[in-house]
Amino acid sequence: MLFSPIVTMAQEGDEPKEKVEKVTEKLLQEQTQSDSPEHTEDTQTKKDFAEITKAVEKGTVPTIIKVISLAVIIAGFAILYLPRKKKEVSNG
Amino acid sequence: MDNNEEDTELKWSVKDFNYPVPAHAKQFGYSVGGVTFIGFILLMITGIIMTFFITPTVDGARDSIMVLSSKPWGLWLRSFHSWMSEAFIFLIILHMTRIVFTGSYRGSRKSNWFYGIGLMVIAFAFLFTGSVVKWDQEGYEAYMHAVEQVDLLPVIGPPISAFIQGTTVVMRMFVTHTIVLPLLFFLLLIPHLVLMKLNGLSPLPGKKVTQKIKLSTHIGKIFGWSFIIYGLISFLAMQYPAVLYPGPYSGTEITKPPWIFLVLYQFENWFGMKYLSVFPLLMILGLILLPYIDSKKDDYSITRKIVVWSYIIIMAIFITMIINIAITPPVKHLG
Repeated sequence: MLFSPIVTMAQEGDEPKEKVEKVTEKLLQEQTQSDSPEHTEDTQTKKDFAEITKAVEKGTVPTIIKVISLAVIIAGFAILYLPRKKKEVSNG
Repeated sequence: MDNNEEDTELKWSVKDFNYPVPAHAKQFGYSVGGVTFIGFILLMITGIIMTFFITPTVDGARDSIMVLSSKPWGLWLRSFHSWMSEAFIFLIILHMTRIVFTGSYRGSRKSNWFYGIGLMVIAFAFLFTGSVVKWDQEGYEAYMHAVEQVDLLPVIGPPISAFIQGTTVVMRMFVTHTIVLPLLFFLLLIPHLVLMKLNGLSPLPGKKVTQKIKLSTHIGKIFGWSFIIYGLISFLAMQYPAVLYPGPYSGTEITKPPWIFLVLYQFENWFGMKYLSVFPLLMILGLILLPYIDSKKDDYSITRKIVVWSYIIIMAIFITMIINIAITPPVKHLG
């Protein structure tokens, strides 16, 4: 209740709550129902995410990242399982 | 003060830091909390780097992720952060499971159990807000679920609902994800770690500590496991980049949430949107009550056995639900 005066502050000035609630829905409809060339281009861009990632995966850097990752895994196994000087200390 | 005195003081401080801990600290179960902590640090580092590239607006969020993902390091960064967030939840549950199995919430460790529950709840909030911030179809559906749930809350529901709606929703989720939740997390993490140090490592059930190892060996094991787990996640992040769904379309519901929320998804299928919040609240209540139900020091008490077996059965049910939802087509829940 202490924070209710703050959280009830409308985001678009002092618009009533009902109006605020409609904003997200309206905005989304504008985004999705528009037939403008910009919107078509935008939709096209959004569809291309899978293509972007595929193109990126073909480069050298992903291979380097994978090699580094494998090296880190091997280092982890080495830390855990390579025999080292016994560090156990007896209780008391 | 002569040089000899200075040397003695230095030796004392180093030795004090590398104090002996019980030998079972070498086991994975007793290292998983530390592994989770390192996971949080990695999430924080990758998250901070990502904030330089994300445009937290309804129009810009998804596109900025597209731009970031068009570069190999950017794609890895985002995928690693995304995979890590899901692994982080898994490790928290693993850590909690070890604590339940060893009854490490009893006695003086009770208050630390409560801090742990708080940290887990914040971790779920991290996962939720993180998925909304990217503002794709999945984020939008998660967000709409939250709005409908908040609307059902008495008194505080309407103002919070108004706060999270509108064109600034992505910015507000971003601020929550990157500033509010990390602050809350640290607020609970500090006492969690301090109490862990004060109480010491919990004993193995039914066994007396006879052997000890140095703390550096325990930390070495934590790093060893972290290297393996996070190295694997790093590899997978590049091999299987995190999915980014198309921009949100209102009125459709075609995605499924991150794996842990699939349990909620199943409950939503059964009982509908109206009772969705009841289930997590019951789970949290059950976890809070656990140290009161199972409070005896006896590791072989009948209550202990009932608690452990109930936990195993509940977890088995949850895993079945997750698999079931993962292999079945999405269902429309939003009104």
